[in-house]
Amino acid sequence: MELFMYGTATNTGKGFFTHQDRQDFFLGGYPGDVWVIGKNEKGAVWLASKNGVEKTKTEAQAIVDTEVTAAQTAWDLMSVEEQNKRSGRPGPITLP
Amino acid sequence: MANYNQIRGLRVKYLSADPATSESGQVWYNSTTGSLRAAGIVGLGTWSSGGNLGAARTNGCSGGLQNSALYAGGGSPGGATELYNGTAWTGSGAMNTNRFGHRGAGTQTSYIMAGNDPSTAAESFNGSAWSNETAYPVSVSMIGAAGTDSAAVFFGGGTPITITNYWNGSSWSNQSSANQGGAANNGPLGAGQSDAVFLSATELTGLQGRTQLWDGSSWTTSGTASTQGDSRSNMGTVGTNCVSAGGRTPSYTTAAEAFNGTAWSATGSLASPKAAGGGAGTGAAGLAFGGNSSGSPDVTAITEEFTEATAATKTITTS
Repeated sequence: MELFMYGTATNTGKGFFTHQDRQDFFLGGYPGDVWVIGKNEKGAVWLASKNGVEKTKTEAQAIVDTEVTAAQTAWDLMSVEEQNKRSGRPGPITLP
Repeated sequence: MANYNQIRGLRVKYLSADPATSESGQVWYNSTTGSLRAAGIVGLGTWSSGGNLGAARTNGCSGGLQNSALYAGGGSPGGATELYNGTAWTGSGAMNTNRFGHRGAGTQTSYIMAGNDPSTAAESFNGSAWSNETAYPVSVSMIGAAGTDSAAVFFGGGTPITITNYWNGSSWSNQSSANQGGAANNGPLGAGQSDAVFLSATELTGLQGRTQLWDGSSWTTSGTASTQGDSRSNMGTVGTNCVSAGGRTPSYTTAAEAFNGTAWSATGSLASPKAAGGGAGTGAAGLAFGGNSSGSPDVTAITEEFTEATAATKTITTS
């Protein structure tokens, strides 16, 4: 059985996800407004209520990869001084 | 294996409803709902989404409480100040100098910061405007800080240094050095002059998570955090109830840990991984905001609000 569902939704700030949501289902945010959501009824309702768009894992991973690649490219173009102000070169992310 | 009767000296009661009052650890069967119930179950703290920062940025100074926090400077560098009211961030008076990697202590309406990248600069904030203050004794960035704008302790720094100084509202006085120097994580950990937690944020592998406690006169080494990360967001106005979240391990993490004055233990994770953001609030009601993430752009405006777990009556299940 699949443990997670995947989707994109814009974090609109306060109330986007609540403490109760976090207790009801797993929720993890990733670059590209990608969300990994515990696969249960409440998780699915949450994504729908946020005007989210469900994605396959492959699609979600592709969005994240694109974001990370862009971030890495931007990092590589930075001066050393700018790089030193950040928390290191963005690394690859594998969705669970 | 011991059963409930042997452990508690009581049998599991068969009740038609949950009792009006119960003791921690008490177990009963609710015949109406057909469920086995237990009182005093403490889960993990949880994070919910807060209002997003007006401007995504990293490595500003932060402080205050969950519903009255501030975040100032940071970025490339910048001087913008934003104030949080528990729902949304709004802009306030800019710092006198654009800064990055500075740290501070205090509340949204009375705050003292020091350092830069690196610098001896110090500024105070009154809720609407910044004023230049007596310079910090050494040039420093990524310093640790706890307390108020009239009674704070500042320590360590990314050079790395071990120096500790008191701020009394107008001047700095040197104190005993920390056992281990280096950068500290961002946000309050401790009450101030006689109570501070130095959670190491050095980039040196193996030294991250090292914890030292300030008792007003000297530093002692305490339990190491499990997450070997740097640039975490801290929250906690007493050294016996703190939370540190996120960081770089070296990948960005959502991990969060709570400190009880002796040891760190895992608590609920952030929803989104980040590092080098701000922190504010207490170990019961905290706030983590801004910082770096793996996306493009690599800075985030996301805010998350932490609520400590409280004991509750829950149904016992097999899952």
